[in-house]
Amino acid sequence: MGARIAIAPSLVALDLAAEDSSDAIRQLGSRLVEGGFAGKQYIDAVLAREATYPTGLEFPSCGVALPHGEPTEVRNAALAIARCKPEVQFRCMDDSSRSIPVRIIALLAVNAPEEHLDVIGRLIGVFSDAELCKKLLEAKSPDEAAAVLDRAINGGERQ
Amino acid sequence: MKKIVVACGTGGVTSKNIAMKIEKYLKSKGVEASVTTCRVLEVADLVSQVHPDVVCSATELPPLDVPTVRATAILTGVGTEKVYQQILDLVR
Repeated sequence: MGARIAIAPSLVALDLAAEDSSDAIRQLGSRLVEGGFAGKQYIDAVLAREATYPTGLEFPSCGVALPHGEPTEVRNAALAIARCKPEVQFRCMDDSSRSIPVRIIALLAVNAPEEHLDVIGRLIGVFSDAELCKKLLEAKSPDEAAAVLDRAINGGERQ
Repeated sequence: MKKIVVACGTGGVTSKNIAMKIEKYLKSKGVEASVTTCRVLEVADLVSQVHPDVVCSATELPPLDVPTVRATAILTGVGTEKVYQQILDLVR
């Protein structure tokens, strides 16, 4: 079935205000570090990766960024989510010369991509599902957002 | 058997997801292919060793001697059919 990813309300930042993509990643990353899921070096690795291999993706409902780094410095698999207000510019995964406004940042910390294949697949599926994406965009509290994601990603048979 | 390589920037997060979906699609079309993943950094070397029929990636690829398919659509769900068809045409 695959391993779970921790999605705690403390890892959800609604209305994140950031100057740019690096600032947003640092702010969101600090929650992972504070929660003990990853070391500070992981956030540096994520920033370095974003610079060479950007992660902006244009989903139907909104722009999403999926920053992540090599699995080596992750202690416990977790997902930190930010809803950006205002939207933050991220460069596109498939065209680094292009930038898109991003509303949702999903900062992923996984230590075994093979084991986490299912949950990662479901996470990506959330953003292409108009209804789930809407729930996320309209969630009124970190608890609510975390619950929506937890159900979609860790629970049940959703594909 | 036809060979497909899926590359990504780091950590195998996007490449493994895309690889899994490509395998599933090809299986549904009754086409057999071996699908492996690698980092974009290693892709040129891997291509010269393995000579795949196609290299797919959601991230930008360096120039390669084999056909490449931009696979971002497989992640976003926008325009996936077209991408799958491109891959299918290259391995059928």
